[in-house]
Amino acid sequence: MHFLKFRVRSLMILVATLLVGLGIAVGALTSKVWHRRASPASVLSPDAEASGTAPQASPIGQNRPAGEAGDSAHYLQAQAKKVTRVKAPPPVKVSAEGIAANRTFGSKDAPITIDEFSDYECPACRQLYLQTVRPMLDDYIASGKVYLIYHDFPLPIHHYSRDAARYANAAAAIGKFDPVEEVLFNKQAEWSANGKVEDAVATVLTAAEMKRVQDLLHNDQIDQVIEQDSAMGRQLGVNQTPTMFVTHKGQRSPVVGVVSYQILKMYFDNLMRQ
Amino acid sequence: MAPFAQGKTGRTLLLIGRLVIAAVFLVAAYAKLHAPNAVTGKTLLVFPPVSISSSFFALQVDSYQMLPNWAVVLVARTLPWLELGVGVLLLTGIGLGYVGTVASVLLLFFFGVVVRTYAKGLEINCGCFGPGEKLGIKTLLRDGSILSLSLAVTAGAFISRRPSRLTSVPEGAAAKSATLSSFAKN
Repeated sequence: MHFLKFRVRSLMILVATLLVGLGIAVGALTSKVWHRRASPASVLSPDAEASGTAPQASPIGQNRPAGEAGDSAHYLQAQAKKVTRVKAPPPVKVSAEGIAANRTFGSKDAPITIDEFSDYECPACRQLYLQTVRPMLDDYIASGKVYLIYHDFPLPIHHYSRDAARYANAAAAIGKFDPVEEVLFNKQAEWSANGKVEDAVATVLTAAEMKRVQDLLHNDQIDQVIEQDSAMGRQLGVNQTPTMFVTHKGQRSPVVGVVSYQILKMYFDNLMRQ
Repeated sequence: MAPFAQGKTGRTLLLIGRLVIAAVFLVAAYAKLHAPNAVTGKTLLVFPPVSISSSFFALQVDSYQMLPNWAVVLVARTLPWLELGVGVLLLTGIGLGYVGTVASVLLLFFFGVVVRTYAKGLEINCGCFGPGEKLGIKTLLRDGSILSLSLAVTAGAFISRRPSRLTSVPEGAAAKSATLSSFAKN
């Protein structure tokens, strides 16, 4: 009788241990499946994630063929094939308004707004950008005092300025306006002499970004932005570059030519004291 | 030259020239003190705070890229008032020769700056009579004409102050006429 009790007890301990082990295994298995379903991009390479070109991979664990359930190596191979056959990245939705919005700097609530009409091939525009706009970006724009809106105004006398504007607008469509604007002005002497705007732009973009920019060059919206800016400038009376319109409390004043940042700051300070 | 300047026609032309130069200076001073209100269409007699107008004018002076920042500020703060003073004095005719000299020197300086800037190919606003005027050949011709007129007015002012040969009598002639008149009495 005691022997039977001992056997029953051992059997119960064994069953309980098996049940606990099974529970742990089921818990572990289900948690892995849950994580994989929540972040399907984790199966992709870090480079794909970082460049923002991560394709939409099918989540691991979903739509898993029943025949592959028991063969993990075969299963992983099949999943790898699925990852490489993913869809191409969705085309960037480009609109003139979207491009224009990506060419602004600072807060829209800033007390002073500057509408700058500029030409990438204009030496005075380059000087204004380097000695005035760049310090202003780090100072009054970053501190929320000034909101800068960039507008294209390519002059007919500059042969490649329109091309440069198109590249800059395409870069704006993918959120890369700032580095492209900077390189266009920094390397102005080179590309304005040889017309190789693309070479200059390529120095600040990755291969994937450059490909997207090149594709966007064929988009009508890129030219439409330039036309809209030029029309706006003509309406405001712009006849030379650079021209800035400083707006404060509804009053708009033109500032033409290259001005130093210190003198411009003085004007801003006096405006804001009103 | 002196008889012409001292004659009726000369004095009339001098008056007209003086008034034209006075108007030029007064309009220039007004435009600088009234900007940027003039751009936004505010009424003629609504002036912005002096700090605004002078700092706005400083931007136009700075665009010539000639002066260091401290000089830009100094010129922006003083030039409009100097032009106003010269314009008022020219209008009244007080000390015409000296005021005309000051006006001519100022205009000569402005003309030199405009010529230099145009020769350098800088595409800026003149700023002579407020914003919105692109610096070009017309600016050169206009400023050159005003300078010429100012020089003529200044020269005419000095010449017209000289005693006329028709009315002045040489010493020897005065003694002779005194002797003749006393002889006639006797």
